[in-house]
Amino acid sequence: MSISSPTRHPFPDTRWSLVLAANCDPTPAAEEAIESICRAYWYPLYAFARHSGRSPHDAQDLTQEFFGQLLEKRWLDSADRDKGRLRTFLIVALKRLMAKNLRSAGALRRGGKHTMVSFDAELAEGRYIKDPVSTRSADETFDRQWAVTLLDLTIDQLRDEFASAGKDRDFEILKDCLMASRGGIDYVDVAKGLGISEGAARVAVHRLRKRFREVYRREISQTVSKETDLDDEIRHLARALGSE
Amino acid sequence: MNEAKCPECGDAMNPSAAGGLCPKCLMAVNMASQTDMTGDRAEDQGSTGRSPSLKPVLEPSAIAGYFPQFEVIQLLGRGGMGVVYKARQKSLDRFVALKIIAPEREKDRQFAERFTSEAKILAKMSHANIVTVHDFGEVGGMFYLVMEYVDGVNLRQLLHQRKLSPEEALAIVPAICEALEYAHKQGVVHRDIKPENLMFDTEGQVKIADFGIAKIVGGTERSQSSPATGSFEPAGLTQDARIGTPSYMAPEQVERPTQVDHRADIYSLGIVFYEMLTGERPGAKLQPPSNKVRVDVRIDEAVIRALENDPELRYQTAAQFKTAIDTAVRGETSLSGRLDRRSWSPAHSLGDRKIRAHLNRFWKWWFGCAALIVLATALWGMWLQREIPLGQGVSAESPDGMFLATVQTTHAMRILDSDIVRYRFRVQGHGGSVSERWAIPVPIEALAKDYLLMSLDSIVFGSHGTIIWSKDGKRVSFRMGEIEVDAFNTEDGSHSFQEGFLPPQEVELQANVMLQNRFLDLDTGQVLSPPAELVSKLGGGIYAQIIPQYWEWMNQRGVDIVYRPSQEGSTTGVHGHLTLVEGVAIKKEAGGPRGDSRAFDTVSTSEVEDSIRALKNALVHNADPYPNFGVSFPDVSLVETREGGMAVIEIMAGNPSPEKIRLRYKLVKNETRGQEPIIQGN
Repeated sequence: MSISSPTRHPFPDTRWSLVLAANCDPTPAAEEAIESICRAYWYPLYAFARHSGRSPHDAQDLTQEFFGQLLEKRWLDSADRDKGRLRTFLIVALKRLMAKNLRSAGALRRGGKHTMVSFDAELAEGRYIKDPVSTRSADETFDRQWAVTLLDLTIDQLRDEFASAGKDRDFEILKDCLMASRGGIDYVDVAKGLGISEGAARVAVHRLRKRFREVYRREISQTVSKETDLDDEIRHLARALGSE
Repeated sequence: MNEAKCPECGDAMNPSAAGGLCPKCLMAVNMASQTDMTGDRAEDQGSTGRSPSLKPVLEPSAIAGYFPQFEVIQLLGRGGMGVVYKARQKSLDRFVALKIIAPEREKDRQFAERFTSEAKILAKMSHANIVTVHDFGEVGGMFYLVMEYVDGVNLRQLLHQRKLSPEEALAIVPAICEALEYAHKQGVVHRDIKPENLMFDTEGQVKIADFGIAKIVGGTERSQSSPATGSFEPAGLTQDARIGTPSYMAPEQVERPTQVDHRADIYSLGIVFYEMLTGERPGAKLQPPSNKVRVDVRIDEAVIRALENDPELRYQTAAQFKTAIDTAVRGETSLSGRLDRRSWSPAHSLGDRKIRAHLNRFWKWWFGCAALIVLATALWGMWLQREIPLGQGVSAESPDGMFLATVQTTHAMRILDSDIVRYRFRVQGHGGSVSERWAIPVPIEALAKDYLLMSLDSIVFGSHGTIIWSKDGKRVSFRMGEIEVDAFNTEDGSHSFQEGFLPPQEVELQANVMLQNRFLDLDTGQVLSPPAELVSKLGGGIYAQIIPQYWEWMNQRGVDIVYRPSQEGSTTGVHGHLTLVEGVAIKKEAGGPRGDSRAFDTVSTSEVEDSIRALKNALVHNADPYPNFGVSFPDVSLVETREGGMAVIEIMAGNPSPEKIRLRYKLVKNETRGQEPIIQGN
């Protein structure tokens, strides 16, 4: 009588859904997903730790330890109902780790048996101190930095795409158009910079905008486990950035 | 340090982030709009870009100077169509919603003309379920509408707070239909019906906001209509008009934007209706709402028709849509039990041969159980019992596409504390028939989730139908139809059921994820200790199962417990057709005539014989206990033998590979009290 139920996958596997699925059955794909999560999303966690009053050194240690545990899959211990989204899972898990460390007399475990995750501590702090001073709470800072990190990933990807087509310079010219309101773009100027006609410049800007939206949506979709969350998450990020 | 500032919005920004661009503007310009505009196309076509600039929102203080007649109080929100502020109209001392559309269109003469002509029409509309436009105008290059201020929430916010009951959805949608009908008759198409545009005032009255705004912004001519007859011609559109919110847009809004008419609103309302009923928007493959919630199948029909891809196949007017819903609502009580068997019925897919084979196996299994029950019930009387309602059930499809029946407001401890848990299910049969019965024996896994505190993450008990082990691990109870059976572990601890016939299932109690073996009384929040017997039975360890995929989904619905067909032994025959109606925990009262357990008096040989006779009769006449399922048992045979004080019954069932179920009963005399029966299949 063992008849398995038909199961369909309404939403393609994402980094996050792979990790969730790895709960029961760790797969190489899930391990890779966890690693790529570490690579991609460390900064918001670092910023959170810093904003919560940690020194740069402690924040580095904490971020290291956090990802170390994540890699060892001990993250499951701090599983939480909010695991539907990567963003909420990471911040809740980080807070738990911070609370736990606080309880154990503030003794941060350093290195030791933890898997080390490479992240550029100098880069992190260098970026943190350049962030505009704000009155936001640590949580708001985290959400904001999360949204910014996803934008970073998006811009990086777009830049790579242009670079692989040998158009690095074009990207530097066009990217500013991404944030200009449509009426505010001097297409004549853009066209001159690109050495193309004004009409072609309009098309180029339009294409870049479209591609930006696609890539950003895809980056966000990597952090949710199901499609229905995607629009909500986008709205949340827009709010976090003060764009809505 | 010289702080970098965004040239667009003036905010401080970090040059090392987001490629040196301003994150706020990046998001605002490219992503924040929920309503897609025509801008992309227009941008290719020339400098008269037709979409509004999606600049970061201006603060109330920044626009106050333009509107001396108002006290601009606060920003209410922004959508794809513009920015809305709450304001007080000084002369009349009333609150109004001030909507500023397309801030950068000041030099666009065409836009100005269109705005004026459309706004005039909007201002003439007067309907209790439509947000009134009081005034409109242009100041400092900003086109604005002054609208009725609705003090309340929109449907999106409401849906975020809680799930609507089907009854609420059924009460709201007809009012929206009336408003749409009114507007459509005046030739006004909304084009952007979505939860964000459906407002509820403090009295719960629904009001449609932003009527016609999409067209003003999108730049289309008014739909040509014939108000007298209520029939509508396709709008004579002058230019590209792909406007709307993708999730709610009718297919023709995407594919043939020049041919959009009022029927697009009916489609969008269909999506909203579906979302109100099920909490989700329809997926790529449209599943009838009744698959997910308990609604009349005629509601399915109404929703599905509204969601027809071809506008010609939809309801042609909002009034027709309303009538269909009203009829279904009225009919639900009077026609109960005589539900439609239309061709879209999900049960139709059962025609699939593979599933049919599964179904046969399922019935074979079921029949074996039924035979056992008939006999066992004759052997034992009923317990004195107390029933504790566990709340109503809602069925829904899980995030991973599996069918789930869920129980709301169920108290996990009550389940743990009870002797038997049984559920009433609604079953949609093979022929589309619908019936309700208690506890159809479906192998299910129950996952209970504490969402009051984090101490108890889930309770998992493997269960076969309503089989449940008592906490001392010595008794298993199950219930089928209206019959309840208890069986006991034999003295050596092995199960008294044949393996394979009833797979040994155990109650697996979930402590928290830290494996601290704590139990929580969900009523009081009190932390309890797990029963010692249970801990020893489970070898001292409490099994923890975490199904994170479901958590958020469960939280969204306020669901405590989820049932899903277990991977092992799923009866595909009822996959997708089973609706959980309610659950009852049964607590046996101690000290009753039959005590807590093991009183098997008044079992006579003649009673057993009567039972066997009844069973034989059922088999000989090939009686299907649930003929609606359309499954017969051509290959069932029964052999009965007596040896000593034992009755042995063999049931052969199944084709092409028949399986034998052997049941052995010890017959006891009336005067023999307290002796345990042996129920054994081997």
